[in-house]
Amino acid sequence: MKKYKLTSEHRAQLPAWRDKWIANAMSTEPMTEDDREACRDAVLRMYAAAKLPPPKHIVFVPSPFVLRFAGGFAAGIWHLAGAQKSRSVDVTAATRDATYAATYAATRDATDAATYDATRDARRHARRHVRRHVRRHARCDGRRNGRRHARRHVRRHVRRHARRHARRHARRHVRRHARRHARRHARRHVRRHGRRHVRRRARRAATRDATDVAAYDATDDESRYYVFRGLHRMGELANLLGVGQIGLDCAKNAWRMWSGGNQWSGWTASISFFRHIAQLDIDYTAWDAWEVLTRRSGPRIMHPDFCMISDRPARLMVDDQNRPHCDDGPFCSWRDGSMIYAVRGQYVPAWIIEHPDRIAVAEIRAETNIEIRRVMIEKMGTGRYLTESGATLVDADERTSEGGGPRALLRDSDGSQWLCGTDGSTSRVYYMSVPNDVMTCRDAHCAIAGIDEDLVEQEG
Amino acid sequence: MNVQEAVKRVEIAAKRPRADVRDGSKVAVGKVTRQGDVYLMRTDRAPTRGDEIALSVGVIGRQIVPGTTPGSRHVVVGDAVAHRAADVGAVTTQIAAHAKQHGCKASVREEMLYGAIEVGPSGASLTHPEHAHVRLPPDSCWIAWSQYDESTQRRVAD
Repeated sequence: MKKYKLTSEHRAQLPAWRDKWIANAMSTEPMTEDDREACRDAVLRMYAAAKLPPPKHIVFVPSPFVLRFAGGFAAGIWHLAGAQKSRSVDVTAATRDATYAATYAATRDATDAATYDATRDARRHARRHVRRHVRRHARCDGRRNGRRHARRHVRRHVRRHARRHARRHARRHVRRHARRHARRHARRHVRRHGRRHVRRRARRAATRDATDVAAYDATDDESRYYVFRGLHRMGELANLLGVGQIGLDCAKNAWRMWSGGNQWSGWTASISFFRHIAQLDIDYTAWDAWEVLTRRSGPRIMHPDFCMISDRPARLMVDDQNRPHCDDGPFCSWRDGSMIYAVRGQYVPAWIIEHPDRIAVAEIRAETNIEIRRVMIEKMGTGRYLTESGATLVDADERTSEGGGPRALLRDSDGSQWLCGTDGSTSRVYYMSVPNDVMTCRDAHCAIAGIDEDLVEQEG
Repeated sequence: MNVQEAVKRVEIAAKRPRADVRDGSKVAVGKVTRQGDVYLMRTDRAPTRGDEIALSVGVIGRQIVPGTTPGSRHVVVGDAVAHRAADVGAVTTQIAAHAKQHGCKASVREEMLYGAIEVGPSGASLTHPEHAHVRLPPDSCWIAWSQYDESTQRRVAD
């Protein structure tokens, strides 16, 4: 076979090809029924190409977060079912249940939050309207009519407010009791009747649980960057689905079953270039399914027994270098309310973006991740940070190695020392924690590098 | 010079980054090249191999630094094998020995070590989404470790 060489004609098509696939990766279009149908067909073809039996379920979920938990839990259930066939667990229903429960936990909370926000705004609007109305009437009809009108309005408003407050309070009370009762009941059922009943109970009780389950938070650093409203319930959910820690571990390791869909457009752009532009004489039949899934869907989990496919995000923001970035909100959010925050490629906890006013010197000192610390200082303002931390200059010098630059050793009011420097290639300024007893930038660098800095010939 | 002036000087220098590829062949045995918070010391013999670092999902190559954030994407691409050191004590001794050859001191803690990279005859690169790449010359060996964070008493995270 003759070796392919890039022709000038093909080279000319590269920019358009690149832009097409970047647009695919950045797509925020929701999946349509046509997309889902195409994905079902592609998944079946892909399993056939891999000489695997078709998956028993092809499930669509609203976000990668639900995908991760539902996929992990379902994998755990199938695993346990395989290990304990004699207990005749209904795994078919289990996959559906895991998906439903995880989706429900996420979307219900998101809906609750959105509803609350909306009604709060409406209430505020109504109050404002009433006040304005009363004032206007008072002016137009004279004081007596105005007072009568105002009294009527106020009475009606108070009655309505009291009713609403009572209803909400009662509902919350009932819900709390119901939840507690349901949980207790579900646990009793687990013991008595085994997993099938747990699944049924899980659908009702687990999704409303608001206890102190932060198991996942404790097991995965990533969770601090994600705003996934049902996250704190996932530990309890796993227990109620009967998969417990195995389910959480499977969710944590869901990347092993992961394919990026449109998020991995780069791979597909490269290979499909040779298919569609270079038109190499290769049988692309098996590949076609992969390409369809990249074009038509978000990330997916492929398991021998099921395939789960996530929708694309509703919002996706990047900076001029295509790095995840948004200064005043999540850079990426999905339709179920889950979201991630990032500043110029660095994931950060949501509160740093949503409440920058809460960033204080103590929070910056407590932050263990130097990139997040850098973003916090940026958000707070370097000048303000240095003033509030009472910093004094201990030493300043300049590195002459390839990529080296000026540095400063600072000491703050509590005696902690920071080496301020840049890395020579990213335009960033870092504040690195160094021992309190060093007196020069050089010694500070030696302390954090573990070597004499004369050994370092290049920096970047 | 006061604090503000010293920091301003660093900020001005940061605005003139040099993103060109660092040529690892210029680094002599026992010397070091740095990519962000990762240090690579060129060595004349590879440490005893431990677990091989697997190909990572979502990146092309072997990610030598654990983590899933963009900052941790220090990835070896090309003809190279990356592995965790089997005997970290021996590796820190090896670093100290190299430093001594150059009349310098080294005190790399064991918890700072990532492992070693053995480059094949075709050469390789240490890439990163944001930092300058480092070209690793053919048939070279490198020991990789991370900066140490004093406040957390552990290696730097990003």
